[in-house]
Amino acid sequence: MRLATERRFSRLTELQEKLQCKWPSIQSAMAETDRELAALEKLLLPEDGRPLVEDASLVFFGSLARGESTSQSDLDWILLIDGAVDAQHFRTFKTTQKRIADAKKLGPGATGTFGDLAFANELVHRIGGQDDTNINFTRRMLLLLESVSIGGDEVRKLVIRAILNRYLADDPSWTWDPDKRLPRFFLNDVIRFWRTMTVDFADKYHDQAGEKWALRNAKLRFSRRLILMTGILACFNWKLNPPNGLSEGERKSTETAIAHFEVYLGRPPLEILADELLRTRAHDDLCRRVFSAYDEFLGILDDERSRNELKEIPRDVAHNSPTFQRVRTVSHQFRDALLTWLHSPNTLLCELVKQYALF
Amino acid sequence: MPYSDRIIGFSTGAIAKGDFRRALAALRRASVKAVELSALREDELPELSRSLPRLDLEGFEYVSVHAPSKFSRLTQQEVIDLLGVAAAHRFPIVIHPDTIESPEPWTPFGQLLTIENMDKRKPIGRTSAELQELFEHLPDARLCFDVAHARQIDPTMVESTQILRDFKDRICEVHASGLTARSTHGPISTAASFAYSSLAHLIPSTIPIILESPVDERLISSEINFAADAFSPWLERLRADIEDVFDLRVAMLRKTQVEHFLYTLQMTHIRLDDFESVVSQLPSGGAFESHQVLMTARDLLGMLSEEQKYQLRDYLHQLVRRLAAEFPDLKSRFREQFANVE
Repeated sequence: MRLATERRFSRLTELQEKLQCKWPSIQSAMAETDRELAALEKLLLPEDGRPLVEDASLVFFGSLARGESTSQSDLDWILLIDGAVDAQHFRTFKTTQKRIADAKKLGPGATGTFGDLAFANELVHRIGGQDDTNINFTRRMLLLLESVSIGGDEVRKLVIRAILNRYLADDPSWTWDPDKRLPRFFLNDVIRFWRTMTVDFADKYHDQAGEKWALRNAKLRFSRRLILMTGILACFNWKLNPPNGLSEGERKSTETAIAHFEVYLGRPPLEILADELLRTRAHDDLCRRVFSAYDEFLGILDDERSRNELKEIPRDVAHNSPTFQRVRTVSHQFRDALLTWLHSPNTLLCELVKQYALF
Repeated sequence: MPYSDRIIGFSTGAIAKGDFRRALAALRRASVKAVELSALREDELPELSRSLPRLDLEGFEYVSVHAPSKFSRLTQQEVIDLLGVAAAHRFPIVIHPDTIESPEPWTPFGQLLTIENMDKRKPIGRTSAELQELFEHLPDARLCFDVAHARQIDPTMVESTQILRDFKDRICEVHASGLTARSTHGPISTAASFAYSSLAHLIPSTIPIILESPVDERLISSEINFAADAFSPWLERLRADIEDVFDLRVAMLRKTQVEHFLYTLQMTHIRLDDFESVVSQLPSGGAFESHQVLMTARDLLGMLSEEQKYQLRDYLHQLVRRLAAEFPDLKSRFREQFANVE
């Protein structure tokens, strides 16, 4: 069962109260997320709460998973399968696809990453190398960094655990001494994902004749950067805030670490960021700048006229678009505040950034 | 016995693990007609065996007992002795074949011994061929067909069909639930229901269905109703066959479709108010998927209870009246067929 919004964002609420400020667009996006998830449950799941099909989870990514839905958000989803070959999975997928289309929801993009069946074996066993396609890589990272399911959540959780197990158990430096290390294999894939998103941004401009360039650019500056942050923070957290009260054996067990990362990443990215800012006692003004910038970004996306402007303006005239210029300005505020925090002198966080974020 | 009147009940273990009394009370409150008393964990068997002679089972038309799935503390002979009480009451005894250490001591149970087909975790009793070997050692034993186990072994339902065809005379009861690849039981999913309905015609209507879906007491009736639809899908299929002729959603073909059917009725002098004759002329197949056994509309009609036939007759007449109003020219051209249709 999903937690109510206020419980999913308890640290964000705490930060808001501490700073005595309001982020209305973030609040409104949380409420819209709850409404949209409830609407999807009604649209796609059997009335009496029974499962659609065994060995599958209906997983949503993007703003819905981050708790940042706006009235204009599109729907990125997959039917994630972890079981024997069964024609019923395809049948369930087609029914879901039709219901989403009939309800006139904004469908996923043209890359084929979403709106499809996805299989656990691919996501778990193909990490790196030729077989780790862009689609497979994107699905795997988003499953860890921003995913939510409706109906049965068991498969999504088990696949997340299996992926984390690969990142940890197959990382020689980690298994040697997890107490003293960071999960480098996982961290490297998080950073690779950020770089891939930025490269794909350029590729989509080339492939799709610049369509939605400004909207993609805005998302890269904010929501994509946010999930990079939460992925990196998850890896750093093992050092920044090691689990307490465990015996040496427990601390060194892969199961303990998997459970730790699962819980950590199970929260919405904005909640993770608020939690880390509070935990590291970041300066109030810095916190205010981070979240007010993000709040303004969500406000722009929620405004039909502004979002359409971002969707439609070509790159070569974007400098004439007041909306895009505003996005650019607040994105600098967001980025600079985060950089100031990450580089705070004489902190372990800064040491970790220096030591691990580049090489 | 019409298929719609199938007896559907629950395993006590699905309602209240380890507490058959609480489960029985819940099932009685929900007016459930069949029960399997579960002693799946061997600790439960001595207490169940002691209580059985005094247990109030009135109201249950079918009662069976499920033997433990593993013998750790009890020996095979001790289990058999404790199950003797169930046999004295003539209750079928469901066993997992991998618990049978040697078949001879089980033979006195005769036809009461009911072997369940297994899920993929077990090394024997999963397929028709493996069951055949078991029945060679226990020729009088009967079969508890667990459709969820069989679907887990083969989601195409070919193995299920094979088991039902090979052992149709041995079937004593059916187990149903949702079951994941990791062998976790759950409520019957939409997909499982669809799969089960494809072989419902192979399960005789007199065979009780025991649900192993772990559900809260409040959901007992809902799960039974859902299972009833899965194992008796005939009404919905016939309704679909009727709609294919009388209520086609493709506007362009709507009139042509019904006109062709009326020609057929005209040639055979069948009037639209002659429900059974009209149904027997319906082209069947629209409600079936490609892999399902095709049944004619008349076959399907034979599966319905009187109450369901009445519902369907009413539905057909309603559609016919609507058509008469929509296409008055058809009413005048096929005067004989529309006689008595107001």
